[in-house]
Amino acid sequence: MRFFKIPTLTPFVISQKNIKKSLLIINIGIFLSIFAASSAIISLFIENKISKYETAIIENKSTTIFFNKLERYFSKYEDGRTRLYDSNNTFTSYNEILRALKNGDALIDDREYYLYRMISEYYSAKEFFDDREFINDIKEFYNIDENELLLSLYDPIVHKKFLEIIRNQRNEIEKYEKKYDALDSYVKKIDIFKSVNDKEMLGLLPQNTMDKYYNVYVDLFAINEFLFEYLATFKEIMADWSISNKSYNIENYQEVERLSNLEKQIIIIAFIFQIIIFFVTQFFEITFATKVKKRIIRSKKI
Amino acid sequence: MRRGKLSNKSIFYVILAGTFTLLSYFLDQQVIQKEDAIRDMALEIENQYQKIDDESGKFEAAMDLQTRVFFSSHQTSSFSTINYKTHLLIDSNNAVIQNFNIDDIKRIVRANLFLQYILTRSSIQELWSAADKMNFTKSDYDNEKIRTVINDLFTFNDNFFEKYKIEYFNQSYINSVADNSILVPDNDGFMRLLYEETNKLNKKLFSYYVILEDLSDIYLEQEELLEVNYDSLILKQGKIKIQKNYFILLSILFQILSLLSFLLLFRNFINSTFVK
Repeated sequence: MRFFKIPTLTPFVISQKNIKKSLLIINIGIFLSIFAASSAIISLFIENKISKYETAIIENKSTTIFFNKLERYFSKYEDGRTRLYDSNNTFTSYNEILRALKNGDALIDDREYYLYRMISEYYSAKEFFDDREFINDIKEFYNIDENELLLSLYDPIVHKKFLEIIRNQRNEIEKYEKKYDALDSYVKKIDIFKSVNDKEMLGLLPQNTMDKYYNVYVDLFAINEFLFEYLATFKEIMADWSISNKSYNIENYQEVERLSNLEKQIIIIAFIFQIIIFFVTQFFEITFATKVKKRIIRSKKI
Repeated sequence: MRRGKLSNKSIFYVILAGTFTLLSYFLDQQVIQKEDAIRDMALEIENQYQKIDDESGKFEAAMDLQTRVFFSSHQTSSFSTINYKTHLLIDSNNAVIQNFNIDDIKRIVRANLFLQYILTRSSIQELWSAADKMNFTKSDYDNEKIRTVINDLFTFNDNFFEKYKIEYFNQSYINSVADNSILVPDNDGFMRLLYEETNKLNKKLFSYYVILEDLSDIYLEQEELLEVNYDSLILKQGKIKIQKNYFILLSILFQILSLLSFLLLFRNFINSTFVK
């Protein structure tokens, strides 16, 4: 294994005969190591820039997941709302036919006609208004600076339409919230599961109760219609924001790719510069070595 | 000394090479440690992701069940009075009855009252069966309150059914009522009982709407907490990966510098020998 030991090569390397070759080999080594070192430094410098974009991509990932989840929940809400609307419509249609019969009022009064729909509309609204934290989050979102909102949207020029809608809904939600709070105390006292006695069942409901059922139903229906619109707008904004977010992510990926390409280009340019410098220094060093060698030979002759 | 003394310059290059090699070894160790940390974190992230997925599944399952309960209960409520009221009107209001064929309406209304009870009971059983197959009811819960709520989900008092099981609530009788081939008798106010029991069952059914709402809120809360942790882990892992890249690059740089120092050392040897 002496082959790998440096002393074996010493006589060859440090001999006057091979001095030029040895210097050339070592200089090539030095050149290559300086090139490798400069490539590593360039990579470090570019890596520093890339890491900022990578962090942004990672941070953005959770936002994308949030948008997808929000869209799924909104779709569930819309699906439920549509099912309830259809179910109530079907029920009302049959009730209307029965009510049109002779003395149909005895068969279908406001209990059948409004009470159950009113209760279903109440629970539909309750699901939203019970979660005040969620409402406050949306309200807070609606209260953000309009320019800031436009900046976050995918196409601010096209989506200026959101501003007008938001301005209107910002006031309306307060109005409907108050309306719901006023109705809540009344509706939650009603027990629709209580069995009515036969006498009460056959008698007509008092006029004020019938009026109340009708008015409360109409109000709750209006609240839910508004909520549907309100959440649809919010969903639309979120969807647009989500596109903007995806586009921001693509920009980050493109920037990482651009920096990687830049890194390669800089390394190639650095290599070209270094090889030029190497040849120039090599020229001077070998010329100098030749001169010294000649001088030594001359001094030996003397 | 046969090999002579090392010059100051040579000693400097040796020290430089040694320092760079040591730094390179140190950074290599850092890379190994970071790699370990990344592997541990990847496992933890995977674990967290599964937990989030699990909680998300539980939340959506509870929410879907809640929706089913709502519609089932709403359907029962919507028809809760019309059938019994018509049943009462058949005997008391001729004006209304004149609109219908008396035998048909009597049979239909009684069948509706009978089947409404059976359907409400079946809805609860189907919901129990659906819930029983769901992931969230099979999990072991440390929280005793949640465990009790889930164990009691869609359970109900079935005394009424048991009482009339042989007489009325057997499959052949139910089938006969369903195809309108039989008139359900109103012995001992059986229609009133059906109306009341349906309401009781529906009340019980709707109570699960509130329970499921609370349950889904708990799952959502847990999911959100896990998500916060997951996000911080992802960010932490990203930062460690970036650090690892820096360590690799710096280690390479120090290795090169160490090599360069050796080359300069050899060059110095040659030059000094040559000049002598």
